[in-house]
Amino acid sequence: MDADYISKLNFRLVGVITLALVLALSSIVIVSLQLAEKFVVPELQAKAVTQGQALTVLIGQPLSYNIPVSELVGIDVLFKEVAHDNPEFGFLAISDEKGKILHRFGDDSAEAAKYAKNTGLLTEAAKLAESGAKPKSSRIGKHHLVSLPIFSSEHSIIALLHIGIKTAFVQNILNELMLDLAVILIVSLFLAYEVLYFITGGKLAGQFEMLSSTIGAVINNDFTRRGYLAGRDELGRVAALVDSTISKVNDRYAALLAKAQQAGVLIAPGDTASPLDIRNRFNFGESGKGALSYINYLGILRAPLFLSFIAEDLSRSFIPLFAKQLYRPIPGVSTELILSLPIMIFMMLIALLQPPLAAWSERVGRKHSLLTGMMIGCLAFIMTANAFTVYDLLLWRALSGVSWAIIFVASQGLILDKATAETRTRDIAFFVGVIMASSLCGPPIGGILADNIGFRATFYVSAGLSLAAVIFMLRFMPGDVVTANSSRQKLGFTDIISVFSNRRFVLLVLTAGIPAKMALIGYCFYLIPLYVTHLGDSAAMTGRILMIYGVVMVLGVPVAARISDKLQKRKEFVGIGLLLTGVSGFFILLGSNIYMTICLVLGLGLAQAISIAPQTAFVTDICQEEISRLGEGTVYGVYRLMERIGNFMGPFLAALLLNFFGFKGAFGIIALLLVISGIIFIAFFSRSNSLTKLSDSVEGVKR
Amino acid sequence: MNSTNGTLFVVVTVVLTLAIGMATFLTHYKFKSLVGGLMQSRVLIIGNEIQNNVEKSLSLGLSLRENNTLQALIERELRSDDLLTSILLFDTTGAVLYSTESAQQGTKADKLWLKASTTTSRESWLVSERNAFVAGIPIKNNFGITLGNIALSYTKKPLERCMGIIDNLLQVTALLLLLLTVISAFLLLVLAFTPYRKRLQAAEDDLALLIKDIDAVPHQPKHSDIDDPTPFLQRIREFIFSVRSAVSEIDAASTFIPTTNSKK
Repeated sequence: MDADYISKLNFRLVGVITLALVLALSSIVIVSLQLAEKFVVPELQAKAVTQGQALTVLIGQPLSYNIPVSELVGIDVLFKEVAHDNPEFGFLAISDEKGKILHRFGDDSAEAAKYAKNTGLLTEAAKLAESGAKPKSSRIGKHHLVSLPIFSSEHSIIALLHIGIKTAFVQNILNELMLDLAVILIVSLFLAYEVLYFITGGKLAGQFEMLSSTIGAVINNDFTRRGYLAGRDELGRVAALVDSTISKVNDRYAALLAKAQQAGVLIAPGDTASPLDIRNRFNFGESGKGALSYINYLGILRAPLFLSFIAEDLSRSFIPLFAKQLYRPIPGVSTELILSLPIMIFMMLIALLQPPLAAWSERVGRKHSLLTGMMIGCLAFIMTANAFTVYDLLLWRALSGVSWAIIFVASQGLILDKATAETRTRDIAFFVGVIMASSLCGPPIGGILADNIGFRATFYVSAGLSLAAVIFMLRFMPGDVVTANSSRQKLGFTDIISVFSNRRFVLLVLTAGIPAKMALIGYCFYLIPLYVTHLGDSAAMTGRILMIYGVVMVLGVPVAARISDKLQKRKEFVGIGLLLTGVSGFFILLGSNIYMTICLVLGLGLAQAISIAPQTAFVTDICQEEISRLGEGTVYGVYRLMERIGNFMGPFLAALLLNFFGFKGAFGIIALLLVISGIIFIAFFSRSNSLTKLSDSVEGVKR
Repeated sequence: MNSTNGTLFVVVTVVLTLAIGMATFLTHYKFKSLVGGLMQSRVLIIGNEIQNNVEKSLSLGLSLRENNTLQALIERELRSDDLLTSILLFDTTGAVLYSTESAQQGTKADKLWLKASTTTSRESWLVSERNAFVAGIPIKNNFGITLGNIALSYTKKPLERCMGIIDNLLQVTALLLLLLTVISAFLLLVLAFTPYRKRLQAAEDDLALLIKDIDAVPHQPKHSDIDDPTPFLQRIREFIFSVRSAVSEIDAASTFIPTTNSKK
């Protein structure tokens, strides 16, 4: 049993759950197909009959002036209009008593013509007209055809109107349903991991690795490590026994030390000749701890954090559309700009409030601040669901921003409070994992919900999720122990100035940090939801497209980070990422369709996945001096703060460009900005690197 | 959760319940909005006919109140579809000018209708009442100014009947699917995780024995000593050896320290 074995187990777990999900969801599709045939087709038929009756009355008017049906003018325009208003109608025609088609629109297949030639239709129509019954449809080729009589002024049937309902229309509905179910499948797989995490307190592979490394340390005579596993299952019990054994050994060694001290015997380290000196061979840890009574804060925090973040992410695919629905145009004020404000204010508050909120959260306690953030979020969602105008919407979005910022800083703080040197990387990865998972699951589910139950009801769902997060926190999270950690550095204005004295840092922020975020938020939060609706698609489609970004990020970030670390080519990865972000934006210029939007998101995801981790690591590379002076936390704090400027600049810039240049112009100009940023970044850092090498060589010669 | 099997059961149940629940919920709304939308668009076809007729007479210079063919028209249109329960026309103040229900004439239209008609940004509006839907279409003059609205009330019963059947079928399907998939997925996973569980159980037994008798003489584990020679169990044996070695060395060192009494 090793890491490979655990990977295989994970694969089996995912495989079995996927299989069960595919089985369940495809069964629902089959049932839906039967339901559509039973309930949707008759409704379409009823609609065709109503439309047909209206048309026959209209067509009948000139006939009362004895104009022959074959000489009626403008029927093709009328049919075109009807087909435009009712996209499910693929065929409209008028045939005379002998079945000859006189006017037609749409399908020109022989099947429809053959159907119209059936003289039996006329007799049937006459019977139905006499009885007052509604005509029924017959499936002919690609249509469900309904025929209605056209009467002369003498009330005799002189022609038939045929309306064909596309069979593909029902199929398209089912295709849409299948796409939604595919989204549910992917989201469910991520949920499976979340549930597993909540129950066991971590990923199987991660937990096993932790236990393995503790066992490995003991095998190498190191008794200072602990397992930190909280599960009560077989793995958790093995970990507890390992911890307990290590404690016993440490206790025994402590007893030896106590005995030696009491006897006045010195156990001198390094004196290998002495039988008392066992510290040369073993490394013992602290005694008296007993088995760890480890509270699994991460496992407990995961569920409420995921619920809070997904509550916010639900609205990502439609927030500009909701604002558009509420907005009443004011002459002279750019609609696009107003629609960007809810996102901009949300992002701005997150950027500006994080530093002060971090200090506040430390002061009042993490649980208290998390609960406050979640409750504010719940209130903000309820108020957003009841927004009257775009202006009060701005207020509620601002409240949502405050809530998100509190939850973010408090959870990050809690994780760092509880992390040990051994668990720090894993715990930070955990935090990033929650954000990734929620940003992947939230938009598509939100889009589906908005399409089916509406924007406002979806905000109620968000409020429900926030409330569930509050209940989780109250039920499972232990009370606050407020221990102000004075060793943690707080971000101050002087720190920002100090870090900004490094011109390479400034250039990294200006050419990579801000532009990358600007493109991401400008595209994904603002332009894409509006553009997809502009193309005639739904919020659910926006959600599905945004999910692609999440999937690429989840799969791509670890791979790109590993490769960039291995190759030690961080700045190259950042440069390529920036250029690729720019190039992705140009896809929209190649065609106004959904496929180009998918290509853009795919490219954007890939670009961000390539550059996000190397960009962070590159800060360490270029700010060695500042890090040694101010600490890594402060330098990264300044970098993140600056990066977030891009978050709120993105929608603002996108709105301005959209106002002046339309969608293609907005996408294209942002793309161009990114390409220019990428070129400046690559040019500067290649030069900077050469100069550093040159300066090193000169130093070498001098020496 | 006290065992891997328990964890697997909870994971499978929660995930499949959520997925099937979401899919059922989604399918319910898909059909509700689809069938409801088709009924609404069917009613709007009739509404559009009335709208065309009214707007034509407006363009001839007649005011809304003066159109004496309108009452007959809405009564005829009401009979054209069983779904419709009433049709009425109201002006921008909400005053009902024409109605298929004579009692409504001269009264005020529902406030909700008036609100919906003024706030909609679309070509039509919809209000849901307890037993009926009301679909509305604005009437505009040649200058695009709204002069009133046509409100078409239609019964909810066909939609409710249809959704009742759909929901029953979906619920039964969902429950059966849930039972089937949870049981089969759980059994498959138990089967897949059995070797893993057994190895951890073996490790647990070994470690429990170690804690019980930590002072036993250490002996270097050999591959052949282990019934199930997996790298993990091999490492557990090495761990036990290491612990016992440390304990035995601590004990050995302890014998070199004179006790306080003997020192005295």
